[in-house]
Amino acid sequence: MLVDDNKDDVDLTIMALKFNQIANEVKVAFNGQEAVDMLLGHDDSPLPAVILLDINMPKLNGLETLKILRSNERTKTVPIVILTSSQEEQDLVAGYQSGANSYIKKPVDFENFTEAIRQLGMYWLALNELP
Amino acid sequence: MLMQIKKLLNPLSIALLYAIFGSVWILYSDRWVANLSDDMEMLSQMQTYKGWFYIILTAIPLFLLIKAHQRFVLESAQLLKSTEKKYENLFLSNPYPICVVDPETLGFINTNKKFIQTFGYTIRDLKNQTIHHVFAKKDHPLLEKIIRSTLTTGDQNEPIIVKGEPKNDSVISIELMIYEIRFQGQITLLFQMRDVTAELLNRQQIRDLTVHLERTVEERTRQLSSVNEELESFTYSVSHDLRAPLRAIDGFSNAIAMDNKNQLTEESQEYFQRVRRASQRMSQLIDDMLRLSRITRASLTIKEVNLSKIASEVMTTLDVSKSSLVTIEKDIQVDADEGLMHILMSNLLSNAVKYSSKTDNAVIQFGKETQGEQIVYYVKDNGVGFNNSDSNKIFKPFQRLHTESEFVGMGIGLATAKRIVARHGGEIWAEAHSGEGASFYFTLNS
Repeated sequence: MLVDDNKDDVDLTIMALKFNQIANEVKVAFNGQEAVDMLLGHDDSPLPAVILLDINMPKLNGLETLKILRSNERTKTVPIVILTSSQEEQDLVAGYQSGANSYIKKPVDFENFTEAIRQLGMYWLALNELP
Repeated sequence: MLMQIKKLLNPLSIALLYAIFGSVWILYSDRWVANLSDDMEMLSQMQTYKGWFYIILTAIPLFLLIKAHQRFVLESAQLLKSTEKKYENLFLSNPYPICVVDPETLGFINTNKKFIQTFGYTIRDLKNQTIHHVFAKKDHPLLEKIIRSTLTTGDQNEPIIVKGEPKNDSVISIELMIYEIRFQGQITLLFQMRDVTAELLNRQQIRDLTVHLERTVEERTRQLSSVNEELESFTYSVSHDLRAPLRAIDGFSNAIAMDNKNQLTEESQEYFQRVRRASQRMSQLIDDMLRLSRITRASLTIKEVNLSKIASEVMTTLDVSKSSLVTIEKDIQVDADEGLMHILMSNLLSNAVKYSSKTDNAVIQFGKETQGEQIVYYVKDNGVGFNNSDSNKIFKPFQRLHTESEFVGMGIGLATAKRIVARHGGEIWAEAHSGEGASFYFTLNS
């Protein structure tokens, strides 16, 4: 699942996934509130293998979204990777303190970006074991 | 000799001397005259002369004694008068206002010039007035209490501050001491005063100024912290928002170039590459700017740091050519922030390595020396150097003296170095000659 308010970044991420031949289904939420609604609104829908979460978003920002998801029984253990432009120390610390599993700075360079997405897919979709 | 004569001049010794002399005269003078002649008539005449002689003999010392006594009395009187005059002057011309007051009626007995001057009343004005007349009504109870305690215990212990009311309706502040003294044979109260109006006013002004200053500092601090907050949110939004469009430019131009690989001319392909290089370079600039601002904002942890060790560590990470000679002075200890010192040494040494990379037998040195009373640390190389007139320019952010093709870089290293040194209360400067290498000096005062 991809949570990002920037359409460009969403498209680029999907492009990078395709480029790396990662065929998993991708759900997109354009802000935190949408993500919370999608994940907690229907109890029967399957949970994503990993959530890629941006920080700077309208309505509900990434850190607030993270806190809500972590405080809810259903989404407490879903892997959440913060994927954001910011490399501010305060965001990094707050991210991990709120229960993020990983924190990755989006590279500007498309090759590096694609590589980052490839490794993310590799790790969280193939290597990682979920409870 | 004179003292001995004076000692003899007391009444008892005078009487004693006179008695001895008189007795001797009575006992022996008749016998002595009797031996001079047998003629009775002659003898009687001589007795008369003897009487006259005695009177003369005693009258002269008597005259001298009375004269000496008279002079003594006169001199004493004069001395007393001049002493009195001195005390009167001390009272009248005293620089502080003083008045003598009757303890029964509290009326004025005497006032000095300064008192008259301070309160503006004439002696006539005060003739039938009491001390209450020159002090503010609200201070009268305090005044009476102090007078009572002075009369019972002798002197008042500490000066009190009361309000004085001069003739011209103004109000002045008076520091007052009351003493009990004997004046012209009677017990009186001496009021010694000091006009402290100006002094109190000055003190108040200083207090006001201090308060004003504190307020100004507070306000400035508030302004500064709000500017700081704005700066924080600015860098935060730069960090977040400026990168995303660049990623889009880079990503989508790459996508166009890839998708249309066969339709695009070689030239167009190259243009897409340029778009991508430019966006990547801008991204690098943003990162550097943020790093620079982070150094200004970061809090310092000052402790003892071994700069030589840091320099050696930095050198192992740099690509130094085998022919280069690197000398690092041992055990240079400073009190500084370790993280920032690492960045500082890394920037200076990597510059030295970079700009001497095209020099055969490059020499890179790190050490310290004493200039005046200051310890100055230096990083020197014998590389390309620069024109000494540019030595101030190079510390400005994004200022470069070489083209990208000569030496790669963003022009941020020395600006960062300068900020790090400034945050440690030190200075950094450079000396160089084109083609003869560069020397960077810095001080640390933390």
